[in-house]
Amino acid sequence: MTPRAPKKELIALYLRFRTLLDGLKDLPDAAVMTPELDTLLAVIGTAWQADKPLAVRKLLIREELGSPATIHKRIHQLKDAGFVSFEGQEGDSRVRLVVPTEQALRYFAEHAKVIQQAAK
Amino acid sequence: MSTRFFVLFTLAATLIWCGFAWTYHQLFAWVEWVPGINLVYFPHGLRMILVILFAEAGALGIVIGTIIGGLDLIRFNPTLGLAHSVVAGAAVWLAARIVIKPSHKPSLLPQTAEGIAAIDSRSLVLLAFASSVLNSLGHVLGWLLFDAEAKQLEVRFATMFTGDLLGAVILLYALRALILFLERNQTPRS
Repeated sequence: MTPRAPKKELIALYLRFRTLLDGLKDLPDAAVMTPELDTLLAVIGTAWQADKPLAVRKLLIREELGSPATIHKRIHQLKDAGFVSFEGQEGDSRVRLVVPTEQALRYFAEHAKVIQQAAK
Repeated sequence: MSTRFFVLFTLAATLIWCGFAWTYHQLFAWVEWVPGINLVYFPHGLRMILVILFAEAGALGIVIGTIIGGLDLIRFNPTLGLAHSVVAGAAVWLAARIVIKPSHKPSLLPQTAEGIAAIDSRSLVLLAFASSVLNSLGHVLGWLLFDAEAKQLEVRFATMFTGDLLGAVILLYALRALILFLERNQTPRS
């Protein structure tokens, strides 16, 4: 039996729903991002992009980012702001990896767009 | 849009509106300044969402839902009740037509001519503002034309505008927080 094609009205409704969700997610928010958090997020994002997400423990010993207590606090600030989340390492769930969220990816994309515009 | 889907979407919008408005009035009756004017009116955000999702059917659903919810006023002053109900749906629809312009970029998404869709965060904020102005103006015009006893129209306008705008913005940001919270549980890998 051939499955029935979805109605175009329902497809349009779904697309409008997705657009609305994107619009809601991109609503401007209070600037939580400081230069220090931005640097830390860039380090986390770069490692994740290279498919080598950093473990919390490894981040804490990066002296150029600050003292372990400061880095710990900033990681949690990023987490509270929705920019990073934690996930267990494959094969060793005791290791907590810091990974960027979709919100962080959108943040990077916005930066890339601004750089592209400036370069024109 | 086919008639069948128009009726279906109108019915859905009416039911959603009635359910939300009823719940809101049960929980937030204390923010009502005078009957019909609230200091913070979250359902205005829902009006925007219904019009964005269902376009004309959403606006009609709001009108029907407002008539159902305002039967007391309609019995007392039918012209004013009906006028205010029409304004409730038409103001957001008109604001959406003004604010949301069809994009010239190639897109798979249906554009405004086929139902309001070309929307981003900026147009959401603009829509909240424009629809609050039009809704408050329309209501004040209704009082001016059909209720000789209505007083303090400028204060009513200011209060309704503030309530609508504040309510819409709070609702949109609450939805944003909910979406981001749900997303945090899923970490994408590319």
